[in-house]
Amino acid sequence: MTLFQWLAGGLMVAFAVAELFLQFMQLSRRSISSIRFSVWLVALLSILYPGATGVIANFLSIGRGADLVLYSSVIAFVVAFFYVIHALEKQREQLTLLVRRIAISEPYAVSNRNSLTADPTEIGSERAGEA
Amino acid sequence: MRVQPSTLNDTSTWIVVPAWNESTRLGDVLSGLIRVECSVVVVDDGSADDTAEVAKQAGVWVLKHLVNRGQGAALRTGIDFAMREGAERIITFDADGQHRTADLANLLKPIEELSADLVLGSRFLGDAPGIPVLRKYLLKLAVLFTRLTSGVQLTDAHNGLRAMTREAAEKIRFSEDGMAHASQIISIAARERLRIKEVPCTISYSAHTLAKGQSNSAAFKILGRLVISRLTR
Repeated sequence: MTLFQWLAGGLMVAFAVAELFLQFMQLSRRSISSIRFSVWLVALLSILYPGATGVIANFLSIGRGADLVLYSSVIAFVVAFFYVIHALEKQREQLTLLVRRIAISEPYAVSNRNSLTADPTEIGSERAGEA
Repeated sequence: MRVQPSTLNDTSTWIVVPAWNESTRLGDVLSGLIRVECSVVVVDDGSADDTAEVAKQAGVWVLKHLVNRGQGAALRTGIDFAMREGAERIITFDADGQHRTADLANLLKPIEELSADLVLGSRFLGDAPGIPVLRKYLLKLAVLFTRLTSGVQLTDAHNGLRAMTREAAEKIRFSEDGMAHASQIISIAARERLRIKEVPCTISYSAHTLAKGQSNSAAFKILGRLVISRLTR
């Protein structure tokens, strides 16, 4: 084994073990954790058996094993990008919902100058425009 | 002088004014709106200035976003609040002084006549004194984009002056926080088969409103937002 295989392979083993540990301790979601574990495992096998990627690449008519890794990385990057964007969108919506809830729960009407946190239903019966 | 068009003379008609850092212009806008006999709610969208104080002094309802979330989010907050308070008709009105209260009666007319669920003000059917040429063509492009994406043929797709019935507001649950809400409102209204009408209105452009208002590059941000929104749903 080469030095690179020792270093990179060791790193992948560490990640995979960490993933198993998190799953065992129920500290991560099983579905996401399983996907990550699969990624570390495939990466480890590719590092330990570089010829294997070449065989698969030939089978898929891609040519070189390195190209297979590159194409796979691009696909993985795009999937991860959409996942992150989706997560950010969800967070944005949740933050807006929270800000909205707080705003609506504390309306201010001119007839209630000193009661910003007054019961909204109570102030709702008065009309600010007429005050 | 009080402006008293028929359904404006009714507290179940609500005017929603989203405002962000508008303390210098909001006072004038509200002094015009409080002459209209309906309920007014200002949504201060996390302003760093005295926007909320100015609104409070005008004697209208004030809601405050703790942090800035965008005009669309502020509008939705105001609409949700108005509906909770029993609004039957909701008008959206910009805080920067570009809209005129004189257009409100005309805006509500199709709703009064039961011929529309959503009424949009159009500066291109009315007047837009001082509109920069580039802005004019970008708005025309927005009209084309709206037509292609929603199938609705309009003359002005990004005008903050709108009126809608309560039933329409219940159906148009838009989620865009920023300026893209204008396109989303039209798309949802088309999807829900709501009756949409345009009425002429006047939008006044001045050096002041142009300095604070949207930049032309906002058009690309809106486009980006709409693309992201479609990809992630």
